[in-house]
Amino acid sequence: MTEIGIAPHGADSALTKLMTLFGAPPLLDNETIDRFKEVFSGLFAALGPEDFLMDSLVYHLAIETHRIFRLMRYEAQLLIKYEREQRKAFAELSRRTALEMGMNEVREKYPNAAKTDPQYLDAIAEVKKLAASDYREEMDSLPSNLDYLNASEGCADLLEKIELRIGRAVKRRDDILRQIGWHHVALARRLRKTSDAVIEGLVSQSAEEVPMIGQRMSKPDPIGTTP
Amino acid sequence: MTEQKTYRIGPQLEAVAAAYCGGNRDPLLYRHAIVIAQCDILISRLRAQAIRYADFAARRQLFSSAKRKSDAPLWLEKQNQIGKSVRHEESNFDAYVTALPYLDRLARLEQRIWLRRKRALRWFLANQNSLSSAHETIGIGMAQPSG
Repeated sequence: MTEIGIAPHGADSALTKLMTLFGAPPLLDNETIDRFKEVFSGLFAALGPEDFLMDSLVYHLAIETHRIFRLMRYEAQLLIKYEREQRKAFAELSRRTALEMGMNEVREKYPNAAKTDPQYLDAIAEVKKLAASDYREEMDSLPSNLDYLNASEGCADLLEKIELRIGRAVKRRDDILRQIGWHHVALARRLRKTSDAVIEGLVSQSAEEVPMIGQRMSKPDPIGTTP
Repeated sequence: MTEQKTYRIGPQLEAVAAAYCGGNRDPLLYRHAIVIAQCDILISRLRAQAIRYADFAARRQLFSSAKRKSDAPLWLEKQNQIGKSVRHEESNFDAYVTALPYLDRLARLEQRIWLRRKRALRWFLANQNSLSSAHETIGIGMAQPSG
């Protein structure tokens, strides 16, 4: 029979062994191994692997989970980027509008002023200052849910692509969890067989020690009550 | 008479397969373990390749943006230093989008290997159980009660 090695071992030693055999986990330049270790340790503690096969499944599970986290981060990054771009475009539009309206007002106020007229120049500077403050105000304001909703409409095709990849990664993760389930069922079967053998052995051993009922009855009665 | 070819199995593959078997040297089990190990190593290589490509694309993106901003004023340079990590993440994302077709191809390949691994794992677990029951019948390696 195959050895049923339920030996408790740490997540760190398991990860070191897996990294030696399979190579380093797939991490980008801006990702650290510590974050991956955290994910692996969490899953390791939750699933409590019993042997190397289970260790490797937990490793694959950690990689897929890490990939899902990364894709989700990208999704958020995409929304932030589009929202910022939209806000920038809107701020630029409001700055231009403010500038145009202000300039129209200045021209109406000083219809015959020369270009070098100090009052006229001051008014123009004031208008420019107002437009710039409008722009800054728009850029500094906190984005609302509606802004992100608009952004998601703007980048729907790219979001869909990422969602598709997230879906695939989740499917792969579910598949690994199913495989872990198979492993548990197989291990349970093997353990049951082992425990059955132990119980059977003990029962047969005790049967040898304890005399049978028939044997006990055939012994002579010490008191002599039997006729 | 045809000469049978002998295939050499790499030491890394052997090490992984032996770890899967956990000391059991049954040839049938070992064969499935070899398939699983092969798939594992292929998958890890494909993943590494995908990461290498994404990193390469990110570096190219960073390099081109740095080239564009080489004449940037000092205040912008300072602002860039603050938002360096954010920019790195952004460039990684942009690189990911650029590399999507290539990454998809690798993912398809990975999926195919993953299916092969899954099938081998099923056989491996089934064989492990059937072997244990067969060994139980003939009384090999069973845990004997003490005493």
